[in-house]
Amino acid sequence: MLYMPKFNKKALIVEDDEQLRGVMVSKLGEVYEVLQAGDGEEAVERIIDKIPDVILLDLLLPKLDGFKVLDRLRSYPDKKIASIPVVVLSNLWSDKDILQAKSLKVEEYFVKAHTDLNDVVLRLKKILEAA
Amino acid sequence: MRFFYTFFSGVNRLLNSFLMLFGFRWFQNRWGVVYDSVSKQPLDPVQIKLIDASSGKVAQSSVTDLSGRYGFLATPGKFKIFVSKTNYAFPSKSIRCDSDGIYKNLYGGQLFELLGESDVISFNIPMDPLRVDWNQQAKQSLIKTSAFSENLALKTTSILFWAVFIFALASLYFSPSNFVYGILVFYCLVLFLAMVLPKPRLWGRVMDGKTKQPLVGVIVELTHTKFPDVVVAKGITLDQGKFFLRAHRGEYLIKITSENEFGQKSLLKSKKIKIGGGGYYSRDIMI
Repeated sequence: MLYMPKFNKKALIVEDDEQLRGVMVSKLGEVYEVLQAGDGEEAVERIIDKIPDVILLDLLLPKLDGFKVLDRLRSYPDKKIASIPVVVLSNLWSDKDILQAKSLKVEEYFVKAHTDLNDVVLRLKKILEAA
Repeated sequence: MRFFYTFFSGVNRLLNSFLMLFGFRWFQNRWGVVYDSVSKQPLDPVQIKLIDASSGKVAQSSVTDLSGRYGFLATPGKFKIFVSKTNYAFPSKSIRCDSDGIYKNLYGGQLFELLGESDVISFNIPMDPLRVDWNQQAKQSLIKTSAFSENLALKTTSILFWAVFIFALASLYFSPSNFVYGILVFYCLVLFLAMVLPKPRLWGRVMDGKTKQPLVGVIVELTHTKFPDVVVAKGITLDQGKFFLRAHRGEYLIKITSENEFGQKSLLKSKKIKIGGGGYYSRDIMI
């Protein structure tokens, strides 16, 4: 699940659809170390274990949904972990879902069906460069 | 002039909805849906690519929404579509005909040509399940899809429509009355409309308000009214200033933006709009 590191910045891609995850990994993996998680529990483990510089998070996830991952992240005792920037890429787009995600301090909220994945990559790269 | 256009396109949409009540134009000409060939449930997220057949390059790409919907506004040319999703296979081997219940106008990987002027490409695309997909099971509680009941409703309305027609014809022979004549006139009207009524267009246009010329290459975005930084639909105008935006029913902010060669963006127009049950925005926007 670990891509070859090329730089010291790490991104964690949390997406249950392997193909979509693979696309995002290949787009980011050329420049950054990219970690992957296919469900919420795996995501929490990766976050605590590897402390990524940015997280790309889907909200509909097996075992532990993206909101719960965010909730655990933001309430984590270690402030370095609790303050990791998160970009949401989800097909959920109701007011309620966006409001809930924003209340958990996400950097950006992208709706999968209406987003050029290159825009998502650009946003992640900006965050990684600033980290 | 603009008033008449708006009026007639509104009447056209209304009449098309009327025809759908009788089983005509069911779900046609709106958006494409990528769906499970066995359960008939819409699939997401599916990566969908429009391939320009002459160059072999990806002309446009997209990801389906929670309802499996997608659509490409493209200029004339020869194309292929390629779709991919984990745990699913394309093209479908189980569905090889042109129609599958409520899903008409099916696509199975063949080369096709868009003739005339730019238009929306929106085939329905079946995919075969290879194994259980968590995402598909989980979202059933979130998205209410009822392909089987919709198909049943479609067949029921169609059967009722033609049964009443045959009954009216028989009544005309055995006991003609003004009521029977009235029913047959109504049927003639419905069948006439089904034959001649143009399908509602799916695209809108961005035009220069002064010169009435189309604006090509400008960015059209729909954003949440409460969260203006969240884009819920996006398109770029093609020839004749056409754009295609699909979204669920609701109120949105539409933003028209131009971008210069250095990547600097400038907002040309922004206004609140409403999207109805049709799920797309097809008005003209004057700048």
